[in-house]
Amino acid sequence: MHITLTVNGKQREADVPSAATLVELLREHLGLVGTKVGCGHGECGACTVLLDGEPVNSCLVFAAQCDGREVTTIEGLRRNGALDRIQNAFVDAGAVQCGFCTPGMIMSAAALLASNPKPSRDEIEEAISGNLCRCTGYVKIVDAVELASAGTVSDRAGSD
Amino acid sequence: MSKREIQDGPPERDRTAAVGAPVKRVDASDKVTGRAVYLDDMVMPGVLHAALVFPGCAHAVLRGVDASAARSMAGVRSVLTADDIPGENQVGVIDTDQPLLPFDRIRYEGDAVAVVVAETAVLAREAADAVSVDLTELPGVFDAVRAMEPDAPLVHESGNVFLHDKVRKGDVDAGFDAADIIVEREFRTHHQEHCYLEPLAALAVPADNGSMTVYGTMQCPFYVQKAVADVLGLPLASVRVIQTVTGGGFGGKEDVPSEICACAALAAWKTGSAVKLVYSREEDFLRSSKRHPMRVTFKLGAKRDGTFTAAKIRAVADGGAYTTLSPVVVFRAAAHATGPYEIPNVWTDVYGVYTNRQTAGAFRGFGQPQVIFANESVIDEVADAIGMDPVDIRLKNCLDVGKRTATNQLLTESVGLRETLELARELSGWDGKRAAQGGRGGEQPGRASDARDHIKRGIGVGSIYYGVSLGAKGLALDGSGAHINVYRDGSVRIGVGGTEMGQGLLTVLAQIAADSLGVPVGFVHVERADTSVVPDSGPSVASRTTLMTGNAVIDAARKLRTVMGEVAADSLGLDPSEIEFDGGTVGSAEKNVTFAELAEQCWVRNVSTAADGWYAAPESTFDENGQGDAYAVYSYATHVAEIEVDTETGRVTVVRITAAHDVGRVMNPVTLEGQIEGGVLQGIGMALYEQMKSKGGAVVTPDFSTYIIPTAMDTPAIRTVFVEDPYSKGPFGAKGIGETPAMPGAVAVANAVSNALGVRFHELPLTPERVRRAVSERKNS
Repeated sequence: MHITLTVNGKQREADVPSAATLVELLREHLGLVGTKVGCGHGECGACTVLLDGEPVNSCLVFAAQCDGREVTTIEGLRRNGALDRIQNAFVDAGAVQCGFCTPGMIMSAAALLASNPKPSRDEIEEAISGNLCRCTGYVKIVDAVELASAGTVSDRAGSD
Repeated sequence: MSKREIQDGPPERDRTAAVGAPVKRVDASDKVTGRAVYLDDMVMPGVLHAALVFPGCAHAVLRGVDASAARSMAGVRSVLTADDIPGENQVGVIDTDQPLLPFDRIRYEGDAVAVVVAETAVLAREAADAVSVDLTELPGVFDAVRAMEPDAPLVHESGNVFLHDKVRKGDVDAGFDAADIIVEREFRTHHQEHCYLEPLAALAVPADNGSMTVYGTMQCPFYVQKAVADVLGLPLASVRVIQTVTGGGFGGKEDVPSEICACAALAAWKTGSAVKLVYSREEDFLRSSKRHPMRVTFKLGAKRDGTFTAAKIRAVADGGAYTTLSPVVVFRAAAHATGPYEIPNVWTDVYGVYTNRQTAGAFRGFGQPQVIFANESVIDEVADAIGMDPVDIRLKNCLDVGKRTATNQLLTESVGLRETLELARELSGWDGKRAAQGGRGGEQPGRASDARDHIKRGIGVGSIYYGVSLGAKGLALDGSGAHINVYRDGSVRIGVGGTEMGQGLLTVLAQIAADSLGVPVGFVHVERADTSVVPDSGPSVASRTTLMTGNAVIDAARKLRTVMGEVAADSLGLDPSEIEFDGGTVGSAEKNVTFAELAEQCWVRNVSTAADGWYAAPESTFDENGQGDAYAVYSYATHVAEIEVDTETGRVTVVRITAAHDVGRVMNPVTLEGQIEGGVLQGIGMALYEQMKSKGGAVVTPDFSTYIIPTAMDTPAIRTVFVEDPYSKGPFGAKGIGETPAMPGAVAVANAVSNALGVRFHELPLTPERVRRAVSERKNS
């Protein structure tokens, strides 16, 4: 089926099977492989993206449900090649290890900070509790979200 | 005299601008932007997709595979079975008992019998479901102790007990005779799953000349190279293995990637096309290795003053269907079974047993967390019985320089255990809390320090040691290489055989190289592992990679300094002995050039600025009685856990962990702290949540809804503290750190729950059901 949607601020069109999920649309049809698949059942959160600003497990959403809607992925956070404040905060706080959970974790954090700019540590932990991480013990991830909310992060150009 | 002053001096230089600094991870930017390319992110034109055919039972005679229906499906390119393997049908890394594709016998549910290759992954999976497997089911054996009985079904003709390692030190009977108190208990632990977030995945790309390039998420590219070469009947030089960005390992990507990579390579060889194979999470649970379930009987004797006199240990490890890495796991469990204490009389037997369950292999701690649960629990019971504080009894017996391990190894340097105990005690506020909570936890329940009567608080401790690298049973694998290439602009590229799996290796190696060449860390780029760049460097396991590959980088850098230093001396008019490399300049204080200028001078003079480095582990020994210098050096750690337990629901909440680690030398405090925090959570998972269950060999907890790992809401406050007791042969004094963070936490939590409730636990995890049962049994007793 043919769908039209806005992805990271740009209008995109795709022909997808009716059973295709949003993560398949992103990864296989639009080449946006920054969104990861860790389980395929909405249990690990690695595939978290924003759908009309709300965090969703993109493996649980049909691509067809996204027709006419707006999707933001990890690739959409960078602006003009520079890292977003949350991305910078993850680098600064040492919140990245293997990195496989990181894009989904950052998208959950982005959704939280958009609705709650100064969250408590408990609120951060709750907001990312659907994102599994096996490397970090979550401490530095929560640190990173706190750092991003405080706004005192590095300005990093990224590796363009 | 501080610990730092005792050392002979770091092996290289003491001017360390990068080593010890909180250098930002070199791969962090790519990972936060989504640009890091993991295996399944790789795009290759014309790539085919593979899927595996599983037998659907755990033990059977395999009569045949009928793939005619699958082969006739549009878009299916090939279906391969054991008959299609051109080389040796074998992927066992130590023993050759594991066929890539079984040909006569199914030994566990993950024993894939065929590889289907199709134009899409969905089609490959559909076609795999259309393959019928002709089987005659056999009775299976799913418990290791049952498997040791004479009438148990045989998993392999050779018998189910395939390993027995022992330690015999002193006279254990005399040791128990001399004891005032003896405690003996049996402990059980279960399968634990690694749960790296990136499932196993491989991409094999054939070339017209018959060679094969394999990409994959892995810890051990040289294992994969050997397996692929064996299966395809190719020389090693025709197989190149390149590690892609790897989404976690924890031991689960030690030997298991050999299977998936060899399946992809076989499919690529047969079809002449690139083939990708990616496991679903359920397939990963079904087919990957686990932490060995163990049944451990631990008997400990002590004097009334707390001095240990004897220990007798019998442990049975469920190795699953194939040998895989059990020989080194069982060896490690046997060598370390007493815990980090000097005990004059030791009698240890550890058995490895086949069952029709998932293979058990490497998992952070490598056989030790299971025996640690036993030894550190029994010590607390002994302490309770003689009225001694658990920290005091550990301090009384703990290993130190001049003491001997259970294998009778004399420890000569870098033993920071005592400091970890003292620091953990002090920083956790142990003394006050232990007293407030009833002191002798085994004697009386902890008093709730708030109004919630059903909430009890407890504090517990666990100490461990860990022989760094492979030790006496892995010497043949225990060398590692590095290749450094300095370009004419002074930038540095390094190839290694050790792997980055998330632990921060690339960053730490860049720090080591920067200080070894006297250049800023930004000059250095370390490439992920590639078998074509350095000699076989062994596996990235056993907390060995910073030590082994780090020393190889230092060796290569030393050679480069000699060669480049001669050029600098010549051009500056100095004697080579006056040349120093520091801060990006080379020469003396008065006369010097920048490192970049020197690199250009070398280029102009046709002087090679590439060098190979190598490091081989020192000799280690383990004789037929389990005596010898089993490992070159040990890392040490103590964790103190503070918990709350709800006696009505049985739910345990970990409030705070104080983690003290002797690491030899801190290479990067931020990545080190991160590794420790992650290990702490894995320990909490083992203590409270994680048990992979199976029924008749079928996994009944195959996903994250049924197999529970800790989330951010389970994270306690974690205080980490480092002890730096340098190792003279370590890079800048460092020892291994990869595994120790995951080891003491589980028993520290269990000991804390015992302190709160006044009951002991002999089986993990401490699920609410087990805790509730213990509470009601105590009430009834």
